[in-house]
Amino acid sequence: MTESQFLRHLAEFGADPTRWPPELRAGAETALATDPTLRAAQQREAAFDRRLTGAPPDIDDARLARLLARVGQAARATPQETLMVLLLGRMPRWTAAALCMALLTLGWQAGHRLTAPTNQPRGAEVALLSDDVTTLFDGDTR
Amino acid sequence: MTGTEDSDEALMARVAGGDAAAFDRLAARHLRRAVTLAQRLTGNPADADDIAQEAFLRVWRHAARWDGSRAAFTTWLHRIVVNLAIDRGRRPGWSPLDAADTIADSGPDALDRIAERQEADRLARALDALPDRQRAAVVLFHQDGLSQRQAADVLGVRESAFASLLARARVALKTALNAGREPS
Repeated sequence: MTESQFLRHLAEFGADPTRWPPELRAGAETALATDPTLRAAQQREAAFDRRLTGAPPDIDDARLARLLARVGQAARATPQETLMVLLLGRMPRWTAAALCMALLTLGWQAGHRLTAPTNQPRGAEVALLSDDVTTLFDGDTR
Repeated sequence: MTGTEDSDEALMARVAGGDAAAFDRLAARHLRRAVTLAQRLTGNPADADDIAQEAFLRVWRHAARWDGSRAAFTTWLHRIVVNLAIDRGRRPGWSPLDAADTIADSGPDALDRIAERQEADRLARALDALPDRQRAAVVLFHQDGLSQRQAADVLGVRESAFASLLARARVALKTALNAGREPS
């Protein structure tokens, strides 16, 4: 890594090479080990990083406890997204209900068609079955 | 946390099944970090509380949508918080800093605290002047301590795109803080 490349990455990613993209880290460490100018530049950048980090906001335990109680209460009063909602997406309630009814009707009709009795007389079915069986077993009529 | 019945993943599976006690545990574990992130993004405690509450309500409502094989729970939660904070920042009338919050202190460390407060205000104003996603990049990487990959996942961008966001934000902030004015 050249000096100018190091300085560019230093400005882009900050003073800590362990937080740079992995492919740049080894080159950065080598450059730092060999060049005192770069180490000085790194120290200046570290001061800027500390300014960016700043102090964490003060969030006291009482505030957190109040918020936790609010969150728990709100969750218990809020219905969860169900599997049906995930399947049907975010369509309006009436559209979803109409779609469900249409699917139900279609399923009922299909089932009715499959199980409906045929018009053929029952005796004819038995006779036909009986003829087939004798033919299949030995070819002789009895 | 992974691999135990108290892990985020195990708790989320229970939350998806409607277990409110599991939700309470999850919220107790992650609420402080969510509020901290929201406050850093908005600069406003009241907004931060609202955002954190709404974020956890979304976790509760949409728990069945979360897929642990695609993103860690914390990444998902961070993403919700960042999106809510960005949305809130676009609302008219939003103000990142409480102008009435002044220091009335005569103790021995008063000057140091005033200087710290002024520095924090300068940083907050400079951050506030950045575009939303650049501000989020700085907060996630420098203040929340996420790696570039984690922060990129939270923002839903590739690492190279995140690196670009971060680099532009740092340049703008350096200019603003060194010149004592906000970036343009």
